[in-house]
Amino acid sequence: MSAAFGVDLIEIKKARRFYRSHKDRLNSFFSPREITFIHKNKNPHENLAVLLASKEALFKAAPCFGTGLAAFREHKLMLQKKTPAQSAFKFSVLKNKKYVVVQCVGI
Amino acid sequence: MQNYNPEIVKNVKVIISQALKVDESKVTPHSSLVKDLGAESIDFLDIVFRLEKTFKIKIPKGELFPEKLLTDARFVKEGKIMPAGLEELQKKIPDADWAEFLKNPTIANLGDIFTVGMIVDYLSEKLAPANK
Repeated sequence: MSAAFGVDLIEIKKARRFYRSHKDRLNSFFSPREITFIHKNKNPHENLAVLLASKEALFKAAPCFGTGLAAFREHKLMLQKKTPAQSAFKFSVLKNKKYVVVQCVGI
Repeated sequence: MQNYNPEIVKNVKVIISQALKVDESKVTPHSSLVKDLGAESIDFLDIVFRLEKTFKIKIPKGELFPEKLLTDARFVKEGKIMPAGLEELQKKIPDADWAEFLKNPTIANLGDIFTVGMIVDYLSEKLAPANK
């Protein structure tokens, strides 16, 4: 069985612009838990970037899991429909002033 | 090429150029969102939201960009799109440049298929009753 790996990067400036333009529409795409996660940060666009990059990294690591994600706790991702297989992913988040990078590895 | 509603074309060009921070002159029906215009993951969602706002419509998840299809284990295996998935995609986006994509039909390359024209086609069909 091959290892699953996915990584995604989002520019924080872009995420800020996205949040400012669409903060009223987030509930059409994100679950209530995901929205709560986004607003836990005093800079919500940063958590938005983390969430989006995580969805994409997971999708790249294991396309069949798609975007059925729920909110973060620490650096572990809780999936809405959690199965033993879906739990077998570890996420690492790197953040600097310019970018959010999320790495997803099958464990 | 179809006779698109010029209002739809004009609005889509403005939306894409604003979302992707590219000059409107670079936004043509054949422009690939990823390959030609540099779209990233967040940009696809940004574009969907902008389209909804501008055209006052609701675009259900997976209707414009076929994400549901890509998460179906029947159609995708280890990052590669299987023949059944290709068939579904070709039904959904018949006018895409499939010749190039079929040489290496991976999810990673699928972004190259999504063009500005595809968005205009989608909107033209969705708004058709309102255009009569």
